[in-house]
Amino acid sequence: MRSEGQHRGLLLRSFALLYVGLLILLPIFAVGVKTFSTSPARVLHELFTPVALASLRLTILTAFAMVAVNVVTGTATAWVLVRYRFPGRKVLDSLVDLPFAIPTVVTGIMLAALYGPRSVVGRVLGRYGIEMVYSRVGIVLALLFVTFPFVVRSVQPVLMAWEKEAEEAAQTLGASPFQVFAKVILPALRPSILTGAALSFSRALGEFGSIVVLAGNIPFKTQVAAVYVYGEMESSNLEGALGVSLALLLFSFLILLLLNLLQRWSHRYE
Amino acid sequence: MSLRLENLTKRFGQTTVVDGVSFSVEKGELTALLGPSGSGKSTLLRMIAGLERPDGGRLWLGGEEITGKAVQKRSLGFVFQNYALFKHLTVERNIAFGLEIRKVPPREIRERVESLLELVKLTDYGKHYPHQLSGGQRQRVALARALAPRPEVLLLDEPFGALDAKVRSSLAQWLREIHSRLGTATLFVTHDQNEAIEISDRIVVINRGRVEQIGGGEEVYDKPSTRFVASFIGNVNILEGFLDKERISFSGVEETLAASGRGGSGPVVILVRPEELSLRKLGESGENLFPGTVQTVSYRGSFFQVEVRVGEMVLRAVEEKRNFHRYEWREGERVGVSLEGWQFFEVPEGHEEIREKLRQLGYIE
Amino acid sequence: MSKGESPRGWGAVLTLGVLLWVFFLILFPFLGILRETAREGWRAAFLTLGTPEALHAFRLTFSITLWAVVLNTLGGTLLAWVLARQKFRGRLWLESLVDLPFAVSPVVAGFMFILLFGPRGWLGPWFESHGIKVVYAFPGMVLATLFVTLPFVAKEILPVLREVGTDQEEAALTLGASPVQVFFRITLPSIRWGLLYGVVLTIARSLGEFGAVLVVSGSIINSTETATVYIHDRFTDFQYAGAFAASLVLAAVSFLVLFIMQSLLKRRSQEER
Repeated sequence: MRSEGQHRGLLLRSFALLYVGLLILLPIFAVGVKTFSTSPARVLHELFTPVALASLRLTILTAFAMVAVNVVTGTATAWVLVRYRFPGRKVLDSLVDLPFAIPTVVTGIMLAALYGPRSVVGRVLGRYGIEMVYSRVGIVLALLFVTFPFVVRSVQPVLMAWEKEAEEAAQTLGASPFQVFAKVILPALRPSILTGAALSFSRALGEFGSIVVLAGNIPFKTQVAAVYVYGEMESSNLEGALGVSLALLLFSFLILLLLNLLQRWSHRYE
Repeated sequence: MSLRLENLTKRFGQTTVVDGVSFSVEKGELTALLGPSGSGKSTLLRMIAGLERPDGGRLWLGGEEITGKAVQKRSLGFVFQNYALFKHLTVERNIAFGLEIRKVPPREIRERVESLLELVKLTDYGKHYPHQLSGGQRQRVALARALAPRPEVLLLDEPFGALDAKVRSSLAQWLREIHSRLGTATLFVTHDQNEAIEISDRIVVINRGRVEQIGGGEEVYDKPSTRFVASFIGNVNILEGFLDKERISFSGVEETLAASGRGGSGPVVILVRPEELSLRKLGESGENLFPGTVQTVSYRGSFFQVEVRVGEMVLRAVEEKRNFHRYEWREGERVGVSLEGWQFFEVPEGHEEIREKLRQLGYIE
Repeated sequence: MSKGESPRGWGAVLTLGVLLWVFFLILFPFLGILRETAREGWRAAFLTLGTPEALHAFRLTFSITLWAVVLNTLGGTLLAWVLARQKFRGRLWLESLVDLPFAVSPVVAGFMFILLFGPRGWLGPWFESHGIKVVYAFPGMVLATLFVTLPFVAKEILPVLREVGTDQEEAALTLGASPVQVFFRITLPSIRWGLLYGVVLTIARSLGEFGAVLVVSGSIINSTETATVYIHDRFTDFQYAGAFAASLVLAAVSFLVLFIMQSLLKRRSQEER
């Protein structure tokens, strides 16, 4: 009877492994097979062409710019949502998730419609020399939109579970509100802020839909890595697509590793 | 029907958590499985239920061997330590669960659930969800749920562990009552010796996965067969001494304790229960009488607890009210302490190990 | 948990700042697209939704979503159950692997399937010789969607399964329930809100997935053009009315999804008490 249970367990586990194996491992394996069947040197050569490198550089730069803004606005939003009660708080709380629900192409279309040369906003901004469409600023804007929930949603639960006693203790010891925040609260939030930042960064490295619509596909100017991969595929240059894809996959693995470490770090006092 | 364990053994990796345990629980008997945490008692109970697979030994229910039988088919009721009530089902549906599984007709289920609700005094709570109940109420639902399919044997894992002291003792009494009414063979795990002595017919004392002693409450208390049982059951004074020529001496004390018939020489441990110590006026004479100084006197309701310093030891004595008022011991007073009984153990292991063990059990600080 | 108070002083400034930020970053673009659609003319815009291409695109998106949801709900539940209830070597590896689709760019995800099943891919020629078309066809699009939405159900259920623990399941076993009965009567009810939430997220992502599907679709009109690909293609062809109208439909669905998500979360937190 017992061994029947074990058989059943083994069977279920095999199905689970098959599911992950077919959907995740096999495609990754195919990347490896293709790399070695075309020769790794050729793939590396394609990765180090100036256009490919420029697209990767642009991707990383815009991702960092986005993270810098998101860390501040995301933490502030989480703080406001947890600490204050004001009319519209619940609506604000729901709106935070909107970017997750909305298709990225639609995001791109909306931003293009709002900031495009045909719209009032676009024309006003254009008069001051700010171009959102087919520009790098536009890329950062699109990234800010699609990644907005990450920092908020990783900081918010930590803030909610946070016990005010430590803060009050710091106050009784003579710390000012800003000192309390900088010396007591911020260190406690650091792992969750970093987790949110890593998640946004990871999403930004792979973002495609909103950017391709808003910023287009201009080499050396607005062509990010994912758009470059798509372009190379469209022109049937599989090797070119493969080089940059490998670089992006490597980044993905590194960020996963970082997130695992962060998770361990955030539980270190427990 | 009776439950019989034969050499039951369980290993987790390298450690043997249950080591060749044999005993039986007869129909109508309420048996306590008593031991400190980590003694293997819960694992033993889970093996009986079929939730863990034994690495050795056999299990019998009535005349049938059930060692390899699936949990579902064992006809055992199990009450979990934290109740494990089904959160998404009402009290009624929780109790009905085992009957629904057995495809009992709805009408019978309804009747059975009603009578069980009555038995556990929760008649008005049928439609409530577990989260709307207090700890004691949840405990009773768990019991009713386990009893519903009329099990041959009822197993309870630390049934009162999560409750506060007051609820605990009234529920324990109530369990005793229910048991005498139903007569189901019952085995419950506990680490609380008072609970075990209070309500069970028999106690199986278990330590490090082995049975130390089996017997009635009084027997286990009065005639502990091992040092562990002696120290685990009840409150004790632990005296470390040195045996030589049939006398035991203690550091800082002139007088010695007569230990006739004890040969050899070396460090020993003496366990003395508080009620085995009596306090005398200084100057009275007698065997095994030690002079000391009263350190604290505290009133404990039906008795007084008096702590007396003798040499480097502090002995805790218990004086009945009437006795106490004859002398009115006061702090700082010189008294004689008479040892009227004790348990003697030689010390194969270091004193510190014994102390450490007792410290874990909460007998010394 | 702190109760919170009305913001005063710096707190009020901060609150106002956050509200403005969220308004301009997230809500403003909605107003923008509404205005631009109005300029194209509402009637003209919504007439485009009745064209065969648009209808086909939405129908295709719908069937891909259906496949992805059904398969990933079954697979994700199984996966989470195995991860939570079984101990085996490599379990932690498997668990990290489940996160991978979130970390991989959708374009790269689609590209991986091209490398696997494409005409110049690893297994592609074999499939082709057997007359099975995977990429640039429906199966490939379902596969790509399955890949990007794989973590949702599994990752939502896993923590719930771990938190609920095995006590109730064991209790059901001692009461005579078979493993299958335990799953349907005890395990499933206790994870239902997490499961539903995961399903809603899977639906939202499947409806809106663009990069991965675009790559494996080859965007053939009236054949492999999904709703998002349709929007993209209209937009790049300067057919704004069509792009905006379809975008508005998807945006409306997003709001609906968001609303369901919120109420599910509320239900879940109520039951956990």
